[in-house]
Amino acid sequence: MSPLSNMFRLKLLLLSLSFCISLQAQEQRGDDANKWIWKMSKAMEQLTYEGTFVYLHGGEVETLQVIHDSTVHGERERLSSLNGEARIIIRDAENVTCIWPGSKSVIISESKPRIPFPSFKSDNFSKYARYYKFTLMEDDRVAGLQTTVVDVRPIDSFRYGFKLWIDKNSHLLLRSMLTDSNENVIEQILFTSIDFPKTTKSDNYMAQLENEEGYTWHRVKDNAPKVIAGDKDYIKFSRLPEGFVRISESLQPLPMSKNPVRHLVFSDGMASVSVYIEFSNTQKSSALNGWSSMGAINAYGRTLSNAFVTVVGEVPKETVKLIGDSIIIPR
Amino acid sequence: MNEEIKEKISAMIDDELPNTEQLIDAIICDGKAKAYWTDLHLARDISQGVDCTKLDKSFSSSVMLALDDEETYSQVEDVVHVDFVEKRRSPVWLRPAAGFAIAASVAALSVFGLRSIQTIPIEPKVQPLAQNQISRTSQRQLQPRVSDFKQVNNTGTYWVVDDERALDSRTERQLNVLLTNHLEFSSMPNVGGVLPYSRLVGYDEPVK
Repeated sequence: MSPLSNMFRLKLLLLSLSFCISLQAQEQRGDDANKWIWKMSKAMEQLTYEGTFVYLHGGEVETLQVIHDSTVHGERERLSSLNGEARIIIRDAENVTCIWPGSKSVIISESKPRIPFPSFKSDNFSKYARYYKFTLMEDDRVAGLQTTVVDVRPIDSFRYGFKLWIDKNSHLLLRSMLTDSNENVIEQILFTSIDFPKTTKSDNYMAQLENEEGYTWHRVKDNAPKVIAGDKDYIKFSRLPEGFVRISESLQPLPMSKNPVRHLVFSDGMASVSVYIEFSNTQKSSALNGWSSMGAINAYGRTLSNAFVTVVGEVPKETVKLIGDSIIIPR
Repeated sequence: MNEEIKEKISAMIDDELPNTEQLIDAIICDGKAKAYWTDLHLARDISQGVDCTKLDKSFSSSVMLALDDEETYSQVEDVVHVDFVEKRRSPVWLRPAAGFAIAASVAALSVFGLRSIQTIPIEPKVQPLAQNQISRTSQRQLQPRVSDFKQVNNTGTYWVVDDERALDSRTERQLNVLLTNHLEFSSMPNVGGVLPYSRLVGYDEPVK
């Protein structure tokens, strides 16, 4: 064997080795990013904090206040708008209360227990990592605090990407940016101040109206979803975006709907899409027909001969449309 | 950050630089340039007899944050978002060598079992951060300028259809109900706590 060929082999070996090591390093970085997201998820659930943040979307800016605490009885949270009308959402272990002063309505529904991001437990991670690329970026500062920046980039245009700025000490999410597959920014949340008090006042979590006159209260009396066991494949889909799998199916009574609504949830581990099917043989004046959006949230509605279908999710327009158009409901 | 940038920053602070736009972009992207800009401002204030001890410690970071906001916000329309990594990319000829060097370093770390050092405790440590917090005063300075944005009125949340029209109020209310329900079931609330509800609370119909 000539010395040249030996040298060539050595180079080839080194090249292969460096490639394997690069892959391993890449996996390690993805794994670290995954750990940071998991810690952030736990911190958001367990810490007591009060903060003010700005919400930037489509040329608009809103200032919001969040109060959160975690007791033996579970999480309690209050989110309120500091400009415009005083829109408030209060969430505890039992209820989600939405107060809309503009339409003078209060909607109370039952809250669901939260599981801190199961997708990011190490055994599940590789399954979901196929549809996103996770990268730890250069550290940055937000609200004067040092943060680790995690970039989550989608592999296709059926899902959004994220950049998450996570406080190095508390692991709280201090800034988040939602981007489309071309890295265009769709919306941002950015904390401008954050406090970590030992406790927060219970009054914060009560729905108190300055003047109750004229308000309509919508309360869902029996919101316990009925899990559908026997006919899981009753609703079929001819085509789904890659990676989205059906994770739950239930029947739910919802305000403004006469009959219980069939609710299917699809997820790729990061993003999720809900499909609501309201069976009815009569015309409905307020059904969504076509596409509508509110910032990063897209909705798509169709009226079929025996049902109204609404698809809602924090995914691009194409995704809700594809899911909505591929639904097959037996007559 | 090179000497030329330093001189330009100095000139800008003395109001001697006619075109500052490119320099501001450079300051936003470069941590060292930010720090230098902050130091020069402090030095100038002290020399002019301003009592800097009365300023909130995080005032400068608040200003930086506002600058950051300004940059990223404009990206929504201009589609000029540049990845952090991309900005700091090495010259083309250096990349293979740098890649190999990094790979070799990682290999060495793996061999010596240092991966365990990178393990971070799962339970978050809560630390009082009062000294780092932005005061209410500086927080007000952080708010984007009102004139830059559309004013909002009090007519409820804001769903639009293709031609930017708002939906009728009943369909809109129904979508809000479905969205509230969806947020309870979706996985993303676990990432952001109650923050995804910002999409409900933080939308208001712009003044026509």
